[in-house]
Amino acid sequence: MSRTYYLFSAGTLKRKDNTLAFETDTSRRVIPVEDVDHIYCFSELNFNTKLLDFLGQNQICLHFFDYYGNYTGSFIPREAQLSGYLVVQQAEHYLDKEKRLMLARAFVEGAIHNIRRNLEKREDNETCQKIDGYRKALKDTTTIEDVMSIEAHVRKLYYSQWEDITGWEFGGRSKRPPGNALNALISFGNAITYTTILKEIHRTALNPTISFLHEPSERRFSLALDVSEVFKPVFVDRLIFKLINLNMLNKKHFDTRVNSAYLTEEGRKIFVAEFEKMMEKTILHRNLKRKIKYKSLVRLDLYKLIKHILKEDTYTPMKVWW
Amino acid sequence: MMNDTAAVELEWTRITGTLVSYYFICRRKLWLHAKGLNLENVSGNADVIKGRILHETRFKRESSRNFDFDNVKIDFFKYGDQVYVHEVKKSKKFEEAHIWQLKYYIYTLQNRGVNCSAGVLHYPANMRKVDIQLTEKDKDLLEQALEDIQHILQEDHPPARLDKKFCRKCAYFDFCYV
Repeated sequence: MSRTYYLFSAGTLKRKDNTLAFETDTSRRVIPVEDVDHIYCFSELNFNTKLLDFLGQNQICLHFFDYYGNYTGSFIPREAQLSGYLVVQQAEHYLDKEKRLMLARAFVEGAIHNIRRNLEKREDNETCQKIDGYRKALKDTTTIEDVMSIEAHVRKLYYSQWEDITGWEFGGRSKRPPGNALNALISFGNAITYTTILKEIHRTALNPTISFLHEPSERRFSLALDVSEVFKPVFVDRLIFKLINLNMLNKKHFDTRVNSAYLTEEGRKIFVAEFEKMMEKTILHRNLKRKIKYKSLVRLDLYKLIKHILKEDTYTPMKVWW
Repeated sequence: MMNDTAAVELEWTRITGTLVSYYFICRRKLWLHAKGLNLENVSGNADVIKGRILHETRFKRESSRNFDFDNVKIDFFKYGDQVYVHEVKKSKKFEEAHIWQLKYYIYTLQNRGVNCSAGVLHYPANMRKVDIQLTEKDKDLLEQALEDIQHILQEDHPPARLDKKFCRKCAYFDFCYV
């Protein structure tokens, strides 16, 4: 129950005896079902409901992405973890303005801290100081809109450094479609992070539709958006810098026709392989005093969020300490 | 109107054997588990997985396996002069809790008019069996425990963590200590 599988070639995924098989025109690969917890599908896939039943039994999520690498949707097994008690408390934290604001601030505080660490490593003092200013202002925010706007300002400052860090053309953030290679990488990385977090949320009793920073109506599973604010700088941005600075990705991994950029299949393969490697990396956790994987950081943050919602502890977002 | 004792009895029927055993291990775990914040199946805890495999593989030939009775789940029964309840456990670390879990099963069955006053606790990994009897004195103690469990579950907050050495091996460790 640990690995993520990525399907890049078109084919049929089916239940074969008591495990999974992926068949293409030329080959059949057996995937041991005990070893899977996510399947990401970037290609055309044929399957039937028998497969979905089987995936459901084994608590495996199937995520779909379109031709351009945009997130389409997921098959998520029926929630096994249900706690009416927690959902009621979670809703209360949304409805109570002060409580909601506190959590929204916490997510942005985590995001800013992690963003700043990325810049700090590169000794960019001026931008760091400006970011610190915003961080202070965050404490005095009184509305969600203010919190959102601080986040947007910090991100703008942060992105203004990206051309220096990577040496690649950036300009600014553009989506649907991403205007250049860096934007394509951010969009792709964010989509992968979002689904990783969504999967973890489904393993807890938290309700993924009740969010605090984002409006619950904004997207289907907006709690995943809230939590990914904290993790994007660590999971996505650092990985992008690494891939570019080590020359693992270059111009040929992008399709730049019609004034936009998409990662090619080869580029996606490199990205997800490195993403997986990172998720399996371990660090010593200060409170638990044992080594944990990067991917477990998400679950631990959700536990902290649950404890906050149960009013047992105050939520402090994951702040990189390395 | 229902009188108080009847209401309490009705509540008791929602208490599972697992909850009774947790009462003797950790009340925080009892509270969290009962509120649906159960982490046994998602924590990847090695002991939990070993226990589940043991449960799935041992005593396969017993005819009355995994018997659901009200909301207690009995591993298997044996029949003789009376009904005997059997429960399989991985390690005898929390033997006292296991004994009370089994006694609760016997108690529930008796309340339903089943002729049962004894059971057997199996520790296949240790090649060990423990015979259990439910005495009149046990019944009083058990009723006291059930009442306590009710009180714990009525609390708005989970009880504090134990900070015991065995916490590190618990499926709830990450949750409690993060």
